[in-house]
Amino acid sequence: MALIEFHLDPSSGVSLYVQLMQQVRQSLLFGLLKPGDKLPTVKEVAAQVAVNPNTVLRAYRDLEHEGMVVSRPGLGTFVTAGAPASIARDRYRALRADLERCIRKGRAEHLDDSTLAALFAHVLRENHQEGVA
Amino acid sequence: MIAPIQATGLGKRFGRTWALRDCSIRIPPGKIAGLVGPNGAGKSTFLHLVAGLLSPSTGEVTVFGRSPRSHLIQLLDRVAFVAQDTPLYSGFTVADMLELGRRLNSRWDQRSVEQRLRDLEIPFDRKIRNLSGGQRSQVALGLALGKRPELLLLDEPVARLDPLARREFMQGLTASVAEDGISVLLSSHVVGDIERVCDYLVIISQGRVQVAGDIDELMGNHHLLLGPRTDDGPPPSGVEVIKTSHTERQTSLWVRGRVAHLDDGWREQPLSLEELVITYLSVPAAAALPRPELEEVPA
Amino acid sequence: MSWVTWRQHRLEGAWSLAIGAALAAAVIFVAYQLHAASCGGQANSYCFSNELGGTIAQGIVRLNLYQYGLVVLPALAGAFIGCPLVAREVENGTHRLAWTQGVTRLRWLAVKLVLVFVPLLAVAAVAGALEVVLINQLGTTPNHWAFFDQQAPVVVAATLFALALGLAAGAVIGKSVPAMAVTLVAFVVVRVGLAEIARPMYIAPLSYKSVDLNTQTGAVYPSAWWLDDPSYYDNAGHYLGTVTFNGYRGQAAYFVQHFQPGDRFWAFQSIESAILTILAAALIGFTIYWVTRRLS
Repeated sequence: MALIEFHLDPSSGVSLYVQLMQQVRQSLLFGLLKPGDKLPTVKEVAAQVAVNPNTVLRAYRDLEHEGMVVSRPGLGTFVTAGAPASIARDRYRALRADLERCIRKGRAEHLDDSTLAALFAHVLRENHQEGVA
Repeated sequence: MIAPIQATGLGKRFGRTWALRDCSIRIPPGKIAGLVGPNGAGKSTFLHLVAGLLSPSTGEVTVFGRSPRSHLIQLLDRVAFVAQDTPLYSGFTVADMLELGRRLNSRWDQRSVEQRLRDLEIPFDRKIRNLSGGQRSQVALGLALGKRPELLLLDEPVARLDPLARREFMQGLTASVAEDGISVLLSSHVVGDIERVCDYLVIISQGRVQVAGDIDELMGNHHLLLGPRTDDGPPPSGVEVIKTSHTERQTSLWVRGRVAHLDDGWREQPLSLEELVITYLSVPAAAALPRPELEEVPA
Repeated sequence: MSWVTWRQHRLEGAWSLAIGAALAAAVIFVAYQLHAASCGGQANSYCFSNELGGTIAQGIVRLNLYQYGLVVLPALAGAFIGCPLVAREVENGTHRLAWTQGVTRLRWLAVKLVLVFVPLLAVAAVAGALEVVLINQLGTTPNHWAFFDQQAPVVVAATLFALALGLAAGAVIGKSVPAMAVTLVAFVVVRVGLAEIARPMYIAPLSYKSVDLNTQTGAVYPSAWWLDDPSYYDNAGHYLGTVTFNGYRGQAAYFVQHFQPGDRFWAFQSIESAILTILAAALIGFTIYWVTRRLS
C-alpha cells in the first residue's frame, strides 16, 4: 500500500515531474513522510495517476540529486535521513504571515491575484537563476 | 538501439488522394509517443502502415529494423495493435477472446491478463457485445498486452470513452509500461491525455509530419512572447517565429529557440502542450523536426 | 488457429451438418422405398408401394426437394459460408485484430479454408453418393444423365467451386451482401454455361441414324443422353428440319440424332468435376494472393 498519493494538475503550467517533486517535498514538510519511508513505486504512481513512468523516474532522480531520497535497486526509493525535517510550526506561521502582508500590499495597489502570482513566479525564477536557493 | 518505428519518405495513396506523404521519422525506443492531428490527417493510415495492415505507396517503414509487411512471426509477436473502435469478436465471451490470444500468440501471459481483468471486475463469461465501451477497451488492451509485445500501437483507444473509463484505460496502460518497458505509439484527439502520458510527440497534419520530438525538449524550446505592437521589427535574436498575431496594441509571437534576452516591455508566457499543438496545426507550413540521425543498421 | 476457426464458425458448421444430414436421410429413405417396392417397372421411372412409407417417398420425389436441393445447396453454401469467411472479418474490422496476432495471414486463411470447406465437401460427397444409389434404384435401366448435377463427384466439385467463388468474391468486395449476390449470379452463369455449352462437347458425340421415322430413341438407348432433336433428311441427304408432323410430306427418308452413350457418364462426371476443381483452385490461389499481399 503506497504511503502517499499524488494529485496532478496538468493545467497549472507546472511540469508534471516538478509537481511530483513538490508533492514529495510537501509531504515531508507536513510530516506525512519521514526518513526511511518508502516512496510509492513507479508502477504504483503510474497506475494511480496515469502518468508516464519516465516522468516519475525523473522526479525521483532529481529528488535523489537533491539528497532527499535514495534509490535502492530492487527495493525501491526511500526518504533519506538527511531530508529536511518538517518545518516547525512557528516558522511556518511566520512565513505565512510575511506572505499575507505582501499580498495585502499588492491588493492595496489594485493588483489582482493572477498578477500577484505572476510577480511571485517572476521573482522566484530570477532568484533561482542567481543561485539563491 | 534499433528504433521501434522508423519511416523514410513514407507515403500512402488511396486512389488519387494521398493520405500520407513524405513522412520521415524515427521514434526512439522506450517512449510513449503520442500521435496528434486533425481528423483525416493520416494518423490511422500511419498506424496501419506500421502494423503491416497497409503497404506503402512510396518510401518505407520499418519496425525494429524489419518491414512489417514481411509478416514474419517474430515481428507479429513483438507488435500489438488495437485498432479504432477496438475490434473484437462480438459473439465471443471475454474468456474466448483470451483463449484466442493464447492460441494465436507464442508469448502469452494468461495469468497476468486474467488478473488485470479480474481487478477491473470484468466478467469472463460475458459476451463482448454485452460489455460497456470501457470494458471493451480494457479487454482489447488486455489482449494486446497479453502477448507481451515490445511495441504497442493504439488508434484513438479512448475516443469513445467517458472520462472515468478513459482514466482507467490510461492507468492500465502506464502501469503496464512501467512494468514491462514497452514502446507505445498512440493516436489521440485529447491533448490532455497526451500531456500526462506521453513523452514523445508527433503531429501529423494534412498527411505530413509537422512535428516530431521529445515533449520536454519541445516544451523547453517553444515560447510565447508578448510585447507592444511591432510590425516589422526583427524577431528576438536566436529564435524562429512560427506564428505572429497582432492587436492594436500588442504583438504575440510564437517562437522556437532559446530566448537569450527579452527587450523591455516584452514578457514570456508559458506555452502548454495543447497551445503548442494548436499553434502548429494552425500554421501548416511550419515544422519542427529533429535533425536526421545516423541510422542503425539492423544486424 | 484451429480452435479459433471452430469457435468462429461452429454455428455454421452445425447448420451445414444438420442440413446435410436431413438431405442424406431423405435420399436414403426414398432409395429404400424404391428398393422395397420392387415394382419391376419400366426404365427410368419411380415406383413406390401404396403404404405410408411409399406415399411419403412419393411426396418427396414430387416436390423434387432433394433434386433441387443438391443443385441449389452448393450455391447457397458458396454464398452463405464462402463469402463471409473473409468478407465478414473485413466488414467488421476484425481483420485488424486477426492479422496482428502471431499468425501469418497465409496460415490464418489456410486453416479457415480447410476446416470450413472440408466438412462441407464431405457432406456433399455423402449426399452425392447417395444420389447415385438412388438413381440406380430407378427402373430397370437407370439413366444417370437426367441428374447430372446431383451426383458425386460433380456435386462435390460444384460445392468446392461455389465455396471458392464465394471466398474470392468476399475477399475482393469486402462486404458480405454484395459478395453473396455476385457469387450466386456467377455460380449460375458458370454452371449453366458448362451444362448447356461445354458439357455436350466433352467427348465428341455419337450419331444415331434411323430410317424408321417413328423410332423412340429414348427406348433404343435408355441410358443415353440425347443432345438434340432428330434432324430429318431426304433421300438425297438434304436437311429438312427438326420437327415433323407429317414426315415432311413423305420426303423425309431418315433422321439423325446425336447422343452420348450411358457408359460415358462417369467420364463426363470426371471431366466436369476436373474443370470445376481447376476453377476452384484458381480462385483459391487468387484469394490467397489477394489476402496476403493486397488487402489491408
